[in-house]
Amino acid sequence: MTGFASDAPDRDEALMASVREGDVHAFRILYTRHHRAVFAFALRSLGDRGEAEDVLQETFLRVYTGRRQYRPLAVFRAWLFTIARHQVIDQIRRRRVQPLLETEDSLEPVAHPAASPLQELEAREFSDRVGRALACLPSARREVVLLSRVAGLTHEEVARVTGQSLAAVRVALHRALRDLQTLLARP
Amino acid sequence: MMDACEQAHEAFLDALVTGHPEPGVAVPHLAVCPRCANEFSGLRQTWQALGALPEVTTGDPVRARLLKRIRRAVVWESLCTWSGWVPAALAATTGVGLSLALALLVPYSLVVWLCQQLLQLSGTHVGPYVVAGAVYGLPSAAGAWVWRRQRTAIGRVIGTLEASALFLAILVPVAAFQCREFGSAQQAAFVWGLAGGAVVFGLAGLGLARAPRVRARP
Repeated sequence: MTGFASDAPDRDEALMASVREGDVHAFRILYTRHHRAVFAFALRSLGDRGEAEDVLQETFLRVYTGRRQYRPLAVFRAWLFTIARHQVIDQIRRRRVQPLLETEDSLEPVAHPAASPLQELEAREFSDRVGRALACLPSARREVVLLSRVAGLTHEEVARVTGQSLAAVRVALHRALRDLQTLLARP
Repeated sequence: MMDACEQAHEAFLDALVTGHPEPGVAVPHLAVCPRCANEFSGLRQTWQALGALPEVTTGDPVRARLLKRIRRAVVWESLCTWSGWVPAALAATTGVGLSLALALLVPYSLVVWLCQQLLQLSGTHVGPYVVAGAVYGLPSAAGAWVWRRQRTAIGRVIGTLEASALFLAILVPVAAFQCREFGSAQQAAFVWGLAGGAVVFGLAGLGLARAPRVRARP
């Protein structure tokens, strides 16, 4: 027994090794596990539900069709979000305008049946404020925040996805949070 | 050279991202520097605000559309790429090897005779020849192990049909030569039996050689 965590059959990397052999069931597990994070990242980067769904589909399609390019030693999440990030960039290039972040219609949150109408309204207002603040950030900083907080990647993974150094990621995140703090403090 | 406050920034960002329950312990500098403690507190609030954003999700139609596109990609891969045909060639070669080994151990004429006895049909009736041919198509099922972890059901079926086609392309001339002492109708019946057996047993083998499914937390 090696005792390495990487030997666990349900780790992303182990599942991706099965996907490399064409195992669609393993692919479905990976999709179920990560599609929300990819979708949230795409939606909050693009601000458009339709485009975010396209990015989500295209990303996972590329995970499957490009499965032989995946190196077993690579961290799956970093590889996945590298693809998603490129898809987001392509989508922005296609429409040739800056991302329209966080319009109320496109960012309809998951409904919580227990929440009162007032709570829902407050949540929506809060979401809009944070969304507008995010939209004001320079794209590189916004990207780092979304990858760290919305997608839940570690600094190392964000560095791999964005091709920056670890120090640059920390600096970008620090500045982005400071900017957001200032923006959210405004009445 | 970085001063103590700058050095602390790295540590408190890490404490923030990893959700450290006691940042003061993770970053001792916070206890002695009110400015950094204040900044950390502000950044933590912002971090928490970002975490409180409502969850967004997609519906089942997106997943269904994706799986449809994956199926299309699988069909294309199976039919139009080397990576689709190489396993088929491997499966076909394995099947041909086994079928020839079987023919070497048990000659065609012996199996035909056994089938005639079993079915109680006369020497010229084509039925026993069809059944005997199908027996030599049986090894194509062995190639199914190649597909046991592979692709979607449609991909496995296409792969098996490709393998059967290659199996027959290699084996039919050899079989036709080896059973040249049969009459032409019986020879044709034997070859048809071989073709049918290769396809039917190949597809049946798919059902038997299923790989264990990966069990994992969603």
